[in-house]
Amino acid sequence: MIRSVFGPAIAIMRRLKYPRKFLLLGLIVLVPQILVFNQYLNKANEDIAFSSKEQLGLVYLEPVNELLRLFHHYFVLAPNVALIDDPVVTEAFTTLGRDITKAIAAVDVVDKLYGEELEMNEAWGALKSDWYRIQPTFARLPLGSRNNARDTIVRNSLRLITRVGNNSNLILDPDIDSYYYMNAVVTKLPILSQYLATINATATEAMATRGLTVGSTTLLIALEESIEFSLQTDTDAFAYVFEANPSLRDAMRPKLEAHVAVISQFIGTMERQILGRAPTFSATTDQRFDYDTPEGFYQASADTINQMFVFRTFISEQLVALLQIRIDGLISQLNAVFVVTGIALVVAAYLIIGFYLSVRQTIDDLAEATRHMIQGDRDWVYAPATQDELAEVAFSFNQIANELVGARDQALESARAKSSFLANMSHELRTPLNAILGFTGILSNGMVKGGAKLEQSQIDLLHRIEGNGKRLRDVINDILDLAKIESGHIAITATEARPRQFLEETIGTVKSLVVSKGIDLELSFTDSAPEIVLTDVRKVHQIIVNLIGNAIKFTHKGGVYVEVSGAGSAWRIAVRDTGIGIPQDSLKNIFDKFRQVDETDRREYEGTGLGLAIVKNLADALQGSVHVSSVAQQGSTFTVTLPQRLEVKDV
Amino acid sequence: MLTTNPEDWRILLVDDEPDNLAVLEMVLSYSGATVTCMRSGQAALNTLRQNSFDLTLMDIRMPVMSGYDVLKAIREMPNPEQSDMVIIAITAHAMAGDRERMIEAGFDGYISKPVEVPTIMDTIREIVENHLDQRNLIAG
Repeated sequence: MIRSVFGPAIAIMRRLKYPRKFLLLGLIVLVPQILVFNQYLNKANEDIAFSSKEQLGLVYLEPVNELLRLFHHYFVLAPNVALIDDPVVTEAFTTLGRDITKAIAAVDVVDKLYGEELEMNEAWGALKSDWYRIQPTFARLPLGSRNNARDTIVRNSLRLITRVGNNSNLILDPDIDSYYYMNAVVTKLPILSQYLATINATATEAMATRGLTVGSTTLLIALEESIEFSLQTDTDAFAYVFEANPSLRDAMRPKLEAHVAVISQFIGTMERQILGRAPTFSATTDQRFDYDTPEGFYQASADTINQMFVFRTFISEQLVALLQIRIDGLISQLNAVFVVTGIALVVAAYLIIGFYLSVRQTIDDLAEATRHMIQGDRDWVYAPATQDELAEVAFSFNQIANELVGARDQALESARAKSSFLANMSHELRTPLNAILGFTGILSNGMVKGGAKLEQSQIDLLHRIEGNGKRLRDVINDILDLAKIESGHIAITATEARPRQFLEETIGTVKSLVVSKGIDLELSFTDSAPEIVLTDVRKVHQIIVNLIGNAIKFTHKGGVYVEVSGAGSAWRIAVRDTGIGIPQDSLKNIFDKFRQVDETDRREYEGTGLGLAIVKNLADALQGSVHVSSVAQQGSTFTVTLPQRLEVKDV
Repeated sequence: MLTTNPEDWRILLVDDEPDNLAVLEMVLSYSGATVTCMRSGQAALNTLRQNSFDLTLMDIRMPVMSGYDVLKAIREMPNPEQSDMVIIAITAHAMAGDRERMIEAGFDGYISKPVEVPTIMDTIREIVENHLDQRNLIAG
C-alpha cells in the first residue's frame, strides 16, 4: 500500500545518484524556505526603514518647532514693542530677529539633509519666502493685514509640521504608544502653542492699549476654553498610554503634570487678571510675573509658550527613543533569524555531507569486501561501521559471503580430493597394466630368452590381450588428463607456430584411424586463416586429436573435414563429420564429464565420456571456447575458437 | 665408459613391484644389457656403493625411499662416476607435468608405465645419446 502510493517517488530516487538525491531534496526544501525568508527579510527591512523615516521626521521637526516658537514670540512682540516701550522687551525683539535667522539656517540644514527624502523642499521654500516677504513690513501693517500675514506664516508652519508628520510615516505609525506621542508632537502641541500665542498677542495688545474689546474678550474666552479642553484630553490620552505601557509612566508623568500645571496656571491668571473673573481651572498665581503690566504679562505668556515647547521636545525625544528601541528590536530579531538560519543551514549541510560520506563508506567497504571475497581471503570479515539500514545489507552480504566461501572451499576440497583420487587410481591401474602389457609384449615379440616359438593362433590371442590392455591405458590417460586439468595444474607454454604446419602433423598422427574405417579425413585452410599464431601447440594438438577421434568413432561413411579460418583477433578450427549426429536435447550437456549420448548398458560406442570435457577444459585454458552444432543422422560440427595471440599471464 | 650400445650397459633396475621388475629385466636382458634388480631404494644405494653401473632405471613410488630420495642420494655421492650417472625414471606417474617435474628434479629421462615393449630400448638409447651429447658439449 505505502509502496504503491510512493511508487513515483521511489522511481525518481532510484534513478538518481546520492549527491543528486540530496540536491533535489535540498532544493525542494530550500526554495520555499528562501522565499519565506526573503519575504521576512523584506518585511523586517521595511519595518526598519519605516521607523527610521519616522526618526528622520522627528529630527526634521526639531528646528521647525524652534522656528515656530520664535515666530510666536515675533508675532506677539512686533506690534507691541513700540507700545510697551520697555528696553528689555525691545532688546528681546532684536535678539528674536537674529534667532529667527539662525533657526531658518538650522531648518535649512535638516532640509538639505532630509528634505528631499521627506518631500519637504518645496513646502519649506514656500514658507521661507513667505517669511522674507512679510518680515520687512510686518510691524507697520494695519491690524487686519497684520493678522492675515501672521496667520499665513503660522498656518503654513503648522502645515509644514503636519506635512513632515505625513511624509515621515509618523501619522501612519500603527503603534498605540507612539500614536499619542506623535499626536502630541505633530498635531496637539503646535496648535496649543498657536492658541497660547494668540492669547499672548491679544492680551498683551489689549493691555498695552488699555482697551479690551468685546471681540478680544470673546476670543480670549474661546481660546481659554479650547486650551483647557485640550489639556484635559491630553491628560486622558496619556493616562491611557501609561496604562498600556506602565514603564513610560515614571519618566512621563512628572513632565506631563508640570506641563499641565504651567499652562493651567497661566490660563488661570489670565482669566483672573485680564478677564476679571474667577478661574475655571484650578491654579495659583505665578509670583514671578507682574500680570498687571503689559511687559509682565508678555513675559509670563512667553515663558509658558517656551515651557510648552520644552515639553514638546521632551515628548519628541521620548518618541525617538521609542522608535530606536523598536528598530533595535527589529535588527536584533533579524540578526537572530540570520544566525539561526545560518547555523541550521551549516548543520544541515554538515549532516547531509556526513550522511553521503557514511553511505559512500559503506558502499566502498562492501566493494572492498567483495574484492576480498573474490580473492578468497576467507579470514576477512566485513564489519560495517554503520548501524542504519545499510548495515542490514552488510549483514546479508556477510551471510552470502560465508555461504559462498563455505561452498567454494567445499567445492575446492572435493575437486582436490577427486583429482587426488583419480591420480592415485590411475597410478594403481597403470602399475598392474605395466606388467600385463609388458609380459604380453615380451611374449608376442618372442623376447623370452630360450623360450619356445609360439604358434600364430597363440600370438593372435596375445595381440588381443595387448589391444585391450592399450584401450584400458587410453581410458586411464583420459582420466589423468582431466584430473590434471581440473586440479588447476595445467601448464601453458605459448610459442609462435604455423597452423598449416602443426595441424598437418596432427592430422598425420590420426590418419591411420580413418584408413582402416574407409572414410575421408581432410584438412583445409580458408584465406582468412592466420599464418602464425601464439599458442600452446601441444594443447591444440590434444584438442584436435580428441575431436577427430570422436568424429571418426561416430562416422561410418563420408568423412571428417577440418577447416581452419580466421575471425578478427581469433582463429577457428572446425571439425565437421558426416556421422550419426547428436540429438538436440543432448547438445547442452555434451561437454560435461562422464557424459555420453547413449548412457544405457547396451550402448554401441565405447569411451569414457571424458574426451569433450577435456577439450572444453583445454579450450578454456587457451583463453578460447568450443561450440557444437549437429543434425541427427547428418553429422556434427565442433568449432574451437582461440585467440590468435594467447595472453601470457604471470602466474 | 658409457656407449650407445645396449650390450655395453650395466643397468641397475629399481622397482618395488616384482612383476614390473621382471618385465623390464626381460626386455633389457633381451637387448644384451647386464641387469641388476633391486626391490628398494636402500638396497639400490647399497649395491651402487659396491658396484659400478652405467645406467639406473628407477620407479618413483616406493616404500621408505622414493625414487626422488634415491636420486638425491646418488647425486650427492662423492664419486662423479656415480653422481653423474644416467638415471631414468620409469613410473606410473604419467600426468601432464610429471615429466617436467622429474627432469627438473634431476632425472636424465622419463618413461611412463605401461611401457611400450617394442620401443622402450629405442627410448633409453635416445636418452643416453642426449646425455652423451650434453656431456660432450660441456667437455667442449
